Amino acid sequence: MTDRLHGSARRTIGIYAPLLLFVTFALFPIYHMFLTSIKTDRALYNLSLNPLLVSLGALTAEHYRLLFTDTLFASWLMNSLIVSLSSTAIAMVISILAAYGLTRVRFRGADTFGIAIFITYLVPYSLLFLPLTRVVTWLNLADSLWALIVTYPTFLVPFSTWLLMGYMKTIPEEIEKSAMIDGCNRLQILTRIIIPLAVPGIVCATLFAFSLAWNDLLYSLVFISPTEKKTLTVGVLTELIRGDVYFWGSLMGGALIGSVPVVVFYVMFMDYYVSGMTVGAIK
Amino acid sequence: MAKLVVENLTKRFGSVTAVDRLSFTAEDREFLVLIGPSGCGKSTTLNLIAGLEEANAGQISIGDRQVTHLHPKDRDIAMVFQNYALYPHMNVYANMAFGLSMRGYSKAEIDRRIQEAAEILGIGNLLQRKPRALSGGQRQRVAVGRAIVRKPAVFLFDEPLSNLDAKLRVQMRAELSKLHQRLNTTIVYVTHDQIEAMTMATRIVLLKDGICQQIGRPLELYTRPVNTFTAGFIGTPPMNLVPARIQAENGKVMVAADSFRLPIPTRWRQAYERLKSMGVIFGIRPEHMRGTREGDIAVDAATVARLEVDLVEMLGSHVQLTLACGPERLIALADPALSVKAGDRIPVVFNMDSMHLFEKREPQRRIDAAPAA
Repeated sequence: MTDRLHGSARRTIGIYAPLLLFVTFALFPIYHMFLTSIKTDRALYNLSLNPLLVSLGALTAEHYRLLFTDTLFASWLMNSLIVSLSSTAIAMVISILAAYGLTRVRFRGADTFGIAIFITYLVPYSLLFLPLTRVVTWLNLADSLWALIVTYPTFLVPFSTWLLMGYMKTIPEEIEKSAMIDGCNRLQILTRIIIPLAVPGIVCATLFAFSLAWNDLLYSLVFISPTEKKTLTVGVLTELIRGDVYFWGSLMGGALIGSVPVVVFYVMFMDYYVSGMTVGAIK
Repeated sequence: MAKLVVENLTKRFGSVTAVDRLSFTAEDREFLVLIGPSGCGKSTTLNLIAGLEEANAGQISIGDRQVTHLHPKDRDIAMVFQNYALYPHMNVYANMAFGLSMRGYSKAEIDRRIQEAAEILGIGNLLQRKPRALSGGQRQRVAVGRAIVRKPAVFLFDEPLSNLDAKLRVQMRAELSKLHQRLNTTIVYVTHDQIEAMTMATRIVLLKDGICQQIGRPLELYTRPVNTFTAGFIGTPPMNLVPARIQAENGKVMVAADSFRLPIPTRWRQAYERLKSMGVIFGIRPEHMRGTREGDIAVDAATVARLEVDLVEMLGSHVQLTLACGPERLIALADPALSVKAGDRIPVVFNMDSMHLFEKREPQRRIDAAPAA
């Protein structure tokens, strides 16, 4: 009896202790961000206080007020949403078509194409912005959100295509053959059979693509200068650090709000992220 | 219901010829089985008939229509796959309805056909379930149901039973045979299991390396295999095949191998004498070789050879003996009452009326004593 208790206690510690350690490590920055954003500047800069705690008297909403009234934070948030959602949507349409074509339509050079896409994915995107600047200027898109909507897919598409190709390869080919005999053409197979079956893969690719677009700093910084057109990442960074003055409270508040949409999207779609959708198709 | 004609069908994948000038006809309402070892091109042939692969050469016709270049959906066929290939995101009803609704059948007609098929297959209570909630046998039935609601001219089955466990396979085998009688349609059935072929086929097409070896009724392949490949492929345990020589002495014609010398039945003597001192392959099925006890021999003692027992396998209804014959191994059957152990030397009775001779050189064709009757 004592042995069993002993065993289960050891089991609990064995599982939860490392887990607790990991959760602490992962959530600490968010905790610190949150704390910083609700402390008064006086408490923030007082070196004699514990930086990981806050007293009730030192609470303030001032940093958030500054964010929403003295800066264009709401516009930046909106810009980020528009750009990330549109570029993700564009990238997903292209990627689904490309991934299906490359995995299932046996055309000459399909493999070469697949590898070419992979190589594109390997080109550092921090180098790609140089030539892209010229393209954006030539297209007359500089300083507009379109500059980002058009350029984000350049790194979203190769990434999502590869991810989706891997997923689509797991869908048994016989299902497609069966659909073909049942009277489907390629496009009908894609829309009626493959896409419904690839939902977990598509959700996964969409989430990753959205986060990539949402987190981008470089392209947004390079292609867009007017304050009201800036995305959240660039807006917070450029408008809340003035010279050597850091508006720490508002910076952290902006960063915190900026992470909310990603969290929301992940939580929303996690339910769809059901693997094993193809269980039952074959043996 | 239609006749399927395949003529000179050829399919190459790169430098590999998967199907080589294959011709056969499945008569109307026939249950034709394509069989062969893995990689022999049987599944490729089925895919070619279905239109899932494009042939490099040759013709396929169903009924009186040339279908060689038609899209799968226009060939009036239905196919059942080894892994069932059910649509996992649709329930059983939707799986069966899919092909019909793609073809624009009315809801009422679709429903009528599904109810009919569900009744035949006994899956009426499963219609609302998703494939993942079904057992292997149930999935198999749904896959068959999806094919029969279409009422196609030809059914194609691609190893439909190989994912089932042994017991279920025997049961489904019988059900498919009954289904064939009930539906009265042409079926082309691919399998690597020769028991399935023997039990279900009206005729068998035996393939090896994309080349047709023999076409015939099951018993024909069993009793008159055209070459050593067919002889070794059909039947379990397979036919014993040993190199031997034909010898003539004292007016008798003998077949001599490493460990035995046996006379060829009188009626064939004349015909086989021409093979004198030639090397041949001697073939005899295990059931035509009987292990006995010394002093037990009632039959013509001349057809007895004394062979060493290598392995004894008791199977209840009979004993399977593995016998040494030089470097070769022969399989013989014996009564379970026979007490024998490995290392014993026992008399084995050969039923020489059921012997086969094959040429020694490839493709080791059958040597007939007389033209086929």
